[in-house]
Amino acid sequence: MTGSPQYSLLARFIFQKSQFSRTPAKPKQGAFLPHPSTLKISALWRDGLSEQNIWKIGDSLGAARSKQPLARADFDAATVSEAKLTIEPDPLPQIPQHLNLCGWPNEKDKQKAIALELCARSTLIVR
Amino acid sequence: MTQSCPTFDTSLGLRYWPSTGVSDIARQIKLSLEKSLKHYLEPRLELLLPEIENLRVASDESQIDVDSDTISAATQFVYSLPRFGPIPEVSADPDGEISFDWIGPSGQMFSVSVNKQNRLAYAGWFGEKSRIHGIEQLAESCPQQIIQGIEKATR
Repeated sequence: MTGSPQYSLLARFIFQKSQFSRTPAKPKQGAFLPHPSTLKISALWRDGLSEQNIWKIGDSLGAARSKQPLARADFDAATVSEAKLTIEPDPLPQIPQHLNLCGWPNEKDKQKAIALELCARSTLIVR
Repeated sequence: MTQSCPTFDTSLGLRYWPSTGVSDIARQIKLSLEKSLKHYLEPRLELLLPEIENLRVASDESQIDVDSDTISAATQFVYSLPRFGPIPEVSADPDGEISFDWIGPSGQMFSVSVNKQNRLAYAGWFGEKSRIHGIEQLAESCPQQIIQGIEKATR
């Protein structure tokens, strides 16, 4: 699955200052790299959500690690296809828009190349 | 006649600097040159080395901890970096490796991850039709592909 008919806009929350650059305003590759044990990253459909609601969801997702998102990377479903990743819905009790980006390769250099592709095509929104 | 023939490379080169100098005076010249070079490089090292050391304690819960061997490899990588050009930003990857990121003014990006086996995984995004990625091994001097990637991202 590369997208959902009614959704096309995605966001990934960034919880660490070291994972984005303010000048130029861009997420860094570390913001997109998957954990080696899961090879997937968490994201969100943001279609139809207000800014306030997007950040509220970010706060809910960060509660588990006692962190608030400092920024987020906004991108679209076409970017995910171009990066050769897949979108797998992963609705959470209070967050039906939650999903995972799957299909990451095992090789670190290939992971980094994909992460850079996502960075290049994302818009950084600093909170 | 006194002759010193230091072998210049593009790395910081404070360690194991090879020289074919043959006399005492040549050795003194070499030491003097090393001393002045070290003085020039200290600000770069003073900035990067503590940042790397801090990654040991700054790891996020969702990440694998950065261990001492990785810090040691990352430190060695810093010594091998080109003497000139922008200083990279340092951070910890989710797998416990240490990343060095260069972001150019127009959004070009180059990144190198160092692991505890001294493996350098690099990737660069320089535009829609210009991307690279690959693997190199940590060595005394910085691999050419990595030097070129840094130059492409930051020029």
